[in-house]
Amino acid sequence: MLVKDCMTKHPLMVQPTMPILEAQRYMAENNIRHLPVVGKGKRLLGLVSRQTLLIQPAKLDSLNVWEISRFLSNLTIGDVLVKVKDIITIEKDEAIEEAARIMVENNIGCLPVLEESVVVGILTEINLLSKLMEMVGAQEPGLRVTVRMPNVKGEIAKLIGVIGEQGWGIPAFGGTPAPKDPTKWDAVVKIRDVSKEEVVAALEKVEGQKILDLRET
Amino acid sequence: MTEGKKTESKTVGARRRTLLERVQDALAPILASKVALVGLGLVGFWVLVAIFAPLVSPYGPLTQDRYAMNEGPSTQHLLGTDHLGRDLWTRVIYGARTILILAPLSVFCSLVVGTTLGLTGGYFGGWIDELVMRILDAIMAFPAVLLYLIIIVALGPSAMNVVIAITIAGAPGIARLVRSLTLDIRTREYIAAAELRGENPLYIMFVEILPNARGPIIVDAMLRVGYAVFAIGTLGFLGLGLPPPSPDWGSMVAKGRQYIFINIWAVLWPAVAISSLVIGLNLFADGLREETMRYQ
Amino acid sequence: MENLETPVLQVENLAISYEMRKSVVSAVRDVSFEIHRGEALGLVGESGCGKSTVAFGVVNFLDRNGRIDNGSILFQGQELRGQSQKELRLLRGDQISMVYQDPMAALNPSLRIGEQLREVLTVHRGLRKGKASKRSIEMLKQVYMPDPAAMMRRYPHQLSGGQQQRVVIAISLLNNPALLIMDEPTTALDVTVQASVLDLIAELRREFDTGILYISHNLGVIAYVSDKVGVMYTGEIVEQASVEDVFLRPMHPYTQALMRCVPKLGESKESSQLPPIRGRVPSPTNLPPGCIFEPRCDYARASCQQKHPRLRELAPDHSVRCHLAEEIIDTEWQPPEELIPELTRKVRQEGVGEPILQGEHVKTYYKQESRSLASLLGLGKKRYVKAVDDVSFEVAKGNTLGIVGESGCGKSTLAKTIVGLESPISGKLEFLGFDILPPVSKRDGGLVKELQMVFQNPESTLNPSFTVGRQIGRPLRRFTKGSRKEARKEVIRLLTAVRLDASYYTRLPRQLSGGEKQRVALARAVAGNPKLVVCDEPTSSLDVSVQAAILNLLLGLQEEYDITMLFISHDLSVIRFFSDYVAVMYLGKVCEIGPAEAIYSPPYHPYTEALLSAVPIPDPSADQKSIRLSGTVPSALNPPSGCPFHTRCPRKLGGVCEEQAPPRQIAAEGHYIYCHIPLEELSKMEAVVTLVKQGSTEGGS
Repeated sequence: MLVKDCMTKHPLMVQPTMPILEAQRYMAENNIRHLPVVGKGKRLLGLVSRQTLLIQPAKLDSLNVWEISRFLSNLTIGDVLVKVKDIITIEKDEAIEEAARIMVENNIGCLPVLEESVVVGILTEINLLSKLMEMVGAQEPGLRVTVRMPNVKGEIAKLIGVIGEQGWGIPAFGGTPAPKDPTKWDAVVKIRDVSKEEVVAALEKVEGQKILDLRET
Repeated sequence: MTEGKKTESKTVGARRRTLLERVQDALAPILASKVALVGLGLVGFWVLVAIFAPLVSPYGPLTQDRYAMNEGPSTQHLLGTDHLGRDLWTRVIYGARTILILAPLSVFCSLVVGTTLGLTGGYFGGWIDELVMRILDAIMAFPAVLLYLIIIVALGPSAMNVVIAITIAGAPGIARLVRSLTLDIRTREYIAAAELRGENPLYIMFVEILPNARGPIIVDAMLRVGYAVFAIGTLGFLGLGLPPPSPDWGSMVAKGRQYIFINIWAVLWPAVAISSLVIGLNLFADGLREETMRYQ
Repeated sequence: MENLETPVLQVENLAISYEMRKSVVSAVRDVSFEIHRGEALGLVGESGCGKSTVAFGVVNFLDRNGRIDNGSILFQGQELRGQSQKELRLLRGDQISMVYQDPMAALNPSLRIGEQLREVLTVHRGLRKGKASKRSIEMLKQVYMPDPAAMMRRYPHQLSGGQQQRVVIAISLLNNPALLIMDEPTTALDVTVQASVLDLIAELRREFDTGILYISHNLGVIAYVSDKVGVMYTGEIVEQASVEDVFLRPMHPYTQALMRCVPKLGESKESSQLPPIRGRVPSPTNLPPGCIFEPRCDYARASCQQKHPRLRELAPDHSVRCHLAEEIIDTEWQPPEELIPELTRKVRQEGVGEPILQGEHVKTYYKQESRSLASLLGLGKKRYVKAVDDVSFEVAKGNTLGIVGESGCGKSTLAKTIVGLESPISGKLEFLGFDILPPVSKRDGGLVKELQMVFQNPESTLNPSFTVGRQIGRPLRRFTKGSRKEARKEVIRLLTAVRLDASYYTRLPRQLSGGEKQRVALARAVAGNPKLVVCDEPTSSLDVSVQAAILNLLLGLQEEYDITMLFISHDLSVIRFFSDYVAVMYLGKVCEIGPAEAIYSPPYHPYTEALLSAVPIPDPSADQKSIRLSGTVPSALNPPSGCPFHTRCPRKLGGVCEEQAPPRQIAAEGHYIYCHIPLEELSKMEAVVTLVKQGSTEGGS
């Protein structure tokens, strides 16, 4: 799962000559918070967000009323964008975990995806959340079972083996270390076309593993 | 009927167009082009003058006035006189007569010869085409003036031979044009349809192909009349045209050249006549071509 | 919140007009649609409906006299109208690409392929040559070009049509555009090549997530490529819906009529009809008041003449521009009175009549012009284009033999050989018992009269200098005796037989539409009452509805005059509809010949199977196998040894296919297959096409 598989391709982009007011309207109409600014060849020049479009009062200090309105109407996003060297971007062939890490560590909601400084897509929190949903099979109907197991080699194989013996379909599978217990590991499995009782019966047989949660989604 | 009751109400062509309409259609391109109109004006002037020559000229073309030799323009001689005292204005307009008959005649003859050769070569292809093209190539290899020289010297100077010379020199160019048009039209399916009816080649060439090639041929022919005028002038200048004392523009220039320092008028007016006629014809042909090609 | 909903292209109420010498012609009157990322919208309509104009308007490629009168064009939410040329050029280079019909026109013939690909990257992205080359080669791989590195050094004329189009597609995708506009990109390609290019487009769409605006008049292709379809008629969209809805549940009378008049792969002339749409497309300067389709509509009422209908959404995501759409039940449609005589057909008599045309081992070769000095002296090796290479067939009286194959298969040459416009170098060819090996100029007049032809291109089939009456009258006067007056009456009768009224007698060809010219050509061909008429792709350049009319006309004339026909086409559906017997040709040889039903169902020759799987079917619910041929058709100068198809055959057996000519196997009465694969194997093949409509399946029938 690479960035290029999760990102939004062909994001909305604008040129630096666009006036600020128009950019504000554009972002509002299309319901976006981040707008890459590109030049020739879709080369990334910078990024604007709803925030950067707010004018810093310091810039206006020396101007009188008329000058201010003229100043405002002449402003283009090229004047206010966050330059490319100040933006964090990511290459399209990176793994999404890397993207997620960057976004978490830097507390940013949006990563322009580049291929040699050309914008090829944009990765946002929503993209990642969608991927998460896919990974746990949120869209698939079935039974969602959370199994706690020792954080030891071979445990997952045991679980999968049992499910496999039954011949059940697994549309999604994910796992994390157990919260607050480093010796344990939680696996979330989505199983299709089974009943709760069947699952319970099958998984009971696995030693050392406990069903934490079982629900229909 | 599938073309139904709601057929287009346009009735253009639903009945035979009247003669007036057809004439108007034919004239439309000429009237639409300013260039063509200017050309037509120039040519028209000469044509009128030539037709009404006896009425417009105070003297005869051969009448000599011993007391007014090599004079410039005056009230008696509008354009002056030549070295034998003949009125230049009269000689020029009578010269127009000759040229305006000979030039179109020669072009017409070369049209006939050239078109036939071009159609034949283009339609039959193969060795016939090769043969025709090689002969034409041979003729075209000669510079035009040289060709005229050879022919006139061989046949002798006379009006008829001038026509023959220009025909031979001009036919290859026309033949090439017609041949390339024929090669293109030959690939059309209506020609195949005609062949499938068992039509004989002469029919196909002259009835099926030729009418569709006439546009470019006509325009080319008009241009060639200009060249023919020029050619006749050249021949006259070289002394190979009509024998004296015919008022041939070319020979007028040649003769007048001897006295050019005394009397430039004898050279000037025939030269102006030749140029203006050629320019007029060229403008007319150009304008016409522009108009007909415009909606191609 | 990133918005995935902003369409890549949103067009609203677009109106475009052209300024002509005397008037202003509106080519597009009211077109609205949306294309989202990764979605393909097909714009379909007949010629003159304005679909190409819409594309040009979007990228502002209108001619000097074209202008956008009204409407908005939003690309990624930004209004394109009113942008400066500079900004538009940036957009066009970076984010919008266009692919046209003729790849040779899009490629620069004097630059190598590699240079043209690199140019896109070096100019638009500022990449350096080395990087640009690398990226270009990658792109060529993605469009499945064989040997991409070598391709980079070739010139466009060294590539086949299909390869050229792939290069054009590669160029258009190099910059990863958000929107790709394709205007009839596969129309000039052979069926099998078209199929693989369409597959490529579908794959690239998924890969690049590009929005596609696909324009075509070919309903089958549109059904294959699109997610949504917009049907256009004289500058307006008259129906817009998902591809299944438009093809399976059309609601506008025009769409319904179009669907009815397209021959479907499973239908023959006995089992179905092709009702044409009456009337003509109105000229843009002379539009009917009210609903523009009204004069040709079977359901029209007075109210339709008065008010111009708006586009209304009658079902979820299904809009129709018709006042009466709710009341129309398509399945209950009956042909109107005046069409019924045109559509009723006599039942074909059982039994095969006497063969009136027979060919045995016919070979027609063209001598290849060689420029070498040696050949000039007569010493060079003679090379021949083996256009028709040992073909045998038979046509019984009153029947129709359809000949189908792709370009270069020799079907046109075979037609010309039969008719006498080309001379075979060997073989036997007999018509009505007479030998017709000599060319037409040497044949007897009586024989010439009995064998006539209808040609492909309506624009050049009539002599532009003569009136219709004179052109139909000429064969009449040559072939029959009779006075001038009688001839004139007969011409008028012929005009009526081809459904043109008497006023056409004095018209010149330039005043006629393509379909009308073809009718005149038909009248001319049957004027002398010939026994055999060869039709060389007579409907290939006509619109679908006009094609239906001409096919019906052909059938009617055939019945009335008892004419035997040879029908040549590359369109398998039309051949299926029209023919009694079918011959499939490849590279100068016949692969399979037999009754039409037998050809279209197993056992198949492998080439027939591939052809059938490549035909785009205007039915999204049909199940069609996907058998794609690799490589290209070999040159007829140097055809492969043994079976000519072995270089591309997906079922190739092995060495025997390369060495020996395939034997003629008799699959059934009158059905022959030329293949090394034994008949039992061939019979086990599955049907290529299974239609689901109304419970019938083709392939077994």
